[in-house]
Amino acid sequence: MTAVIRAYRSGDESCIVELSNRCLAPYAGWMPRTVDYWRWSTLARPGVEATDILLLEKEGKIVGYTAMLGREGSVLDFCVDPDQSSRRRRALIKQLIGALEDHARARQCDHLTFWEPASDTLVDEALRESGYVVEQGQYFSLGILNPHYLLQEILAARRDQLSAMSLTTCVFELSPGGYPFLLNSRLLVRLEPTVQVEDISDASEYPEECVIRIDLCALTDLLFCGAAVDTLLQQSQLEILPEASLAEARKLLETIAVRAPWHVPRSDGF
Amino acid sequence: MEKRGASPDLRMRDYAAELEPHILEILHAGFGPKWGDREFWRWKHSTRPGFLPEDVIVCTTADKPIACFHLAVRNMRLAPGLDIRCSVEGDFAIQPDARGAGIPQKTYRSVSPRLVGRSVLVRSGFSSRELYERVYKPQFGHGMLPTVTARYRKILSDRALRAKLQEFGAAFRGRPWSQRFLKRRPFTVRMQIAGFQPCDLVLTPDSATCVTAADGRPDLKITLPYVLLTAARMPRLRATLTVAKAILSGQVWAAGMTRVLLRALALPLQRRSPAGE
Repeated sequence: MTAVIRAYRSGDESCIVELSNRCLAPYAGWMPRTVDYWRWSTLARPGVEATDILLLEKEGKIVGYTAMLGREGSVLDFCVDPDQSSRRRRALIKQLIGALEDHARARQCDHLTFWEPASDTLVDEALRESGYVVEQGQYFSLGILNPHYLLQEILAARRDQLSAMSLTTCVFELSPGGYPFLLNSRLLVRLEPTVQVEDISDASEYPEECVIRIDLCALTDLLFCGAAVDTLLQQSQLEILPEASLAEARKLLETIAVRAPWHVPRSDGF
Repeated sequence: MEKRGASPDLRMRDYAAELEPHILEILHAGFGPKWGDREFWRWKHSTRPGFLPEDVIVCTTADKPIACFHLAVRNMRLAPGLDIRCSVEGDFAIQPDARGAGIPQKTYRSVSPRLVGRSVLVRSGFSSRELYERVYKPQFGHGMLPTVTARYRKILSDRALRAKLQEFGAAFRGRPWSQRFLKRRPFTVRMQIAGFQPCDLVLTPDSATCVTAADGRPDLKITLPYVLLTAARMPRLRATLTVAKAILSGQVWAAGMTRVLLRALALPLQRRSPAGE
């Protein structure tokens, strides 16, 4: 049975939200959708009409969704069920692109512009084959405001991967680098019995099993921007003491780095 | 630009309804009217779910609004099961006569404690490469995230296609050889691109214009699929395959090549003759 294209109808929200969250799951940097957020970010956005939101429905199930910013022809969201087989998904992607182009022409758009993850090869190929030119990437930058709770959150999420480590404590000595605000200058990370991060900025004595000296900008590069531990060590942006703890500290830092590809959909733009 | 000293009476105020016209004025002074109107501002900020007045900061000197700064506190997904609070920031604009006094960094720093109080762990912003190098990196200490997001663009309307062809024609006629080729009389190429109305690209030594196809016979008539227009922007192998596929499937056609060749061959003769000088 082939999929059919139809415009958004009131009541579709939860299906759209569920599909969007599933499509965006492999990426970092996006905002998990809720019905309220979607209604605001897409449906209520000036320039978007309900007819600018298209759904791809197959056997009563929504398998594709896209939304376009009216006359501008800017695609806010484009999702096709990632659980479909590659062959079927490719066909659905092309069908949804074609429908959106027809709609954009009817809306008298001069161009149609998608902001999609190039790592989704099926979408990338379908767009290129349809004559889309890849023009530029997206620039999204980030700084660490609260290293204490950030480390706590990441370490807690990765605790299973930390269990094999022999390291029990580790101290982060932080300097601001180019960052204009330093909340904590020293953090104690306890890996046992549970993962816990303490602010010991004012402490004069602390465990020295492993001390990691890094500035906030280098920590940002390490956690979020794909910077390698060895590169930062070579560039003296990172210091690990004593040397005997180097291997375990490297393992810790590599474990807490965010490795998922970054993708922020247009509808999350600011 | 010469750095001015910090204004001693610089104050930061949270959003209040009476500041709205000033905020719009500042945004338009910074980004031009294309930034958007009041309806757009209200949608983006004050009607956003979870909006707080402290998400909009207005900087004043002597009670006069001179700059504005906007943020939105959101949950950001880093990995399955790992969401963190993030302040997404932007729409930062300063009146031209107040620039150069370090207002961005002061504002950035001043809102930090309040964001900590709202459980924000990271601060982020969308920018151009130029803005990142000029502001976000040196003043805010941000790192550039390696996004996989790419912008894909396609022309849909005849108007945009003609503008693009005109651009191409202008680049072509700018070359010395083309100037000689066009010197005696204009050259008209009829472009028949699948999915678009046929159009005539008329080239003269002084201009390139693209208009709706006329009744007269063009010098050259080219039929091709739209995707071939983008071949120059493709990797070499993909471009070769795309061109070969279009030719072999009979989607590419040119009429008038002989006339073009004869005209090109006649160029050296024209150069020798007085009329060609």
